[in-house]
Amino acid sequence: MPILQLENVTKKFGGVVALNNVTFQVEKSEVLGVIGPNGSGKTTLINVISGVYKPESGKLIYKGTNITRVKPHLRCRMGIARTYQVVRIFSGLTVLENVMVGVLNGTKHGKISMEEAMKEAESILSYLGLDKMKNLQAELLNIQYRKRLELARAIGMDPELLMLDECLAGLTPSEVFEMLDVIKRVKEDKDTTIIMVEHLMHAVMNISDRVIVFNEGKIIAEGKPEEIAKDVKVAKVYFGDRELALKFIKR
Amino acid sequence: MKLGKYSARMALILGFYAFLAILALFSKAYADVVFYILLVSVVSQSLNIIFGIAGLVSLGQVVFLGIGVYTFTFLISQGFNPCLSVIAGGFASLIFAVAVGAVLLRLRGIFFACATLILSVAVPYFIIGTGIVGGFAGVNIYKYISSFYNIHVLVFSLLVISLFTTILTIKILESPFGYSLRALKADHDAAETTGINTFRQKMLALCVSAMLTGIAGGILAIKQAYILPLVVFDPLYSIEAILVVLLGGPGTVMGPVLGAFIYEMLRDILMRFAPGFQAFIYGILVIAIILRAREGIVGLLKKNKKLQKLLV
Repeated sequence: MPILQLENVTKKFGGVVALNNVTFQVEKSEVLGVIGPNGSGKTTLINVISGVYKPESGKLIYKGTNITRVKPHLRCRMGIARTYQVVRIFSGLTVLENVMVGVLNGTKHGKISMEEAMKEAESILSYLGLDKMKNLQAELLNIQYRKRLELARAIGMDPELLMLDECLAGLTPSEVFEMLDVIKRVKEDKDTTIIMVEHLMHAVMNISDRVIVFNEGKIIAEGKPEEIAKDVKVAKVYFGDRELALKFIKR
Repeated sequence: MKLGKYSARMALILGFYAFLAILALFSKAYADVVFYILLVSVVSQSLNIIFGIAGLVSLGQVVFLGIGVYTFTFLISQGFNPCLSVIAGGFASLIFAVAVGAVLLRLRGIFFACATLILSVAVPYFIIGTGIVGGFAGVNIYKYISSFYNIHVLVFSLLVISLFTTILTIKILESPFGYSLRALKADHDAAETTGINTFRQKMLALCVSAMLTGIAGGILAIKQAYILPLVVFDPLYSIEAILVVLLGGPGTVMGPVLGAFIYEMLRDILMRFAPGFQAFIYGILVIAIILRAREGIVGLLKKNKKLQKLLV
């Protein structure tokens, strides 16, 4: 059974249709890459799944339960975690405390003591190579570590479905490489299902089991990374021109 | 953040309260000053829970104080026990907080601040308009309270409430509840998608805050004896509380208490040596705090490494 199913989900902002009748499903333990040009609805998709936006129509089914009307914090406790495109860490809290907030409010909400939460947060920090800065104020971190901290907080929630919204944007090539490594490790060690919204093509192609391509709120292609790389339709939305797209694909 | 385990910190806190108690025992005049230090302190400490820790700017804290005052006034004039009436003031404030919080807590930032301010201005006019509990002319409750009135008892009761609030603040900051309040202060939306029921947590914080202020209101009623709506619901109380929290250090445990001490002492001195200049000097003080010491006095003191371990 798929872990998440979207059925005919539509989300509008005034006259703009950000998601137009979107239907797809995410299988357990897969890494699903979501790509598409700017404004194609990728982030809206994450916001609808995490509950920040309510869709106008359609259904979201998570592990067999209809969660379309479930509040965001309850979705977190059911095991859906996310990161943001523009990093949103809790400033004023230390790095360790940021992760503790995740641990205390995730799937283990109400079942874990402060001491256990602190131990768990510490182990996650050392897992992600942040243990040296655990007592620093979170706002003092640079962008690379902020992204990593946000990921640590999301992992702290012990999710079954983890959504990463452009977690590689703004990183240098070597940092991208490290981050991909971290994500791969999380997937292998914790068997987490991951939805990854990304602009960096080579990164998505490298890590995803399956890729879906958005354009103007619709899914225009879906398949294995190799298939997507050869798809003319996909190349066309990126290059805007069919001839150019064909040239690119031949190369 | 481990606070309670450091006995040195607790000793410092208890020492400060002991100092206030001794000061109050010196003379009647000092007892009066300490009374107001502790009153402002309790109001600011409870404001600190919603404003300092949870980041909700409430400009209407006086409404909870006033409801405490009026509940006490009403009950004592009906012949109820004074202790019971004081506590009932706290519960009345709590019920009021639940009712208004259900609506107001859906607002954020400046909208929440404006709504609380409007509310705190509207309630006294409701009392005046409907004429309940004396209406515009107010009530004199002196005959009901003269038999047990004793300034030292009042000071002692406030001291106990303030100390209780201090310990409660420590407990809140150490608990998952405190963490979620600090998280939602930093980023409300991210807190929600990290699994925090932001509405419930804010409501809880508001209830605690309202109840403590309401209890302090009952004690203020005994001190004032003559209860006038526009005096009891003076918005200056709310502004004072904000100022004291900023001065002492928002979100800290001892900030509001130290802030209240300095604020009241400063007021006493200004009244004597520069009457009429209070508002002007407070204005400068606020600007200075915002420019130089965002974390208030406690923040400034914490810059010293030795003090860092002692202060909370």
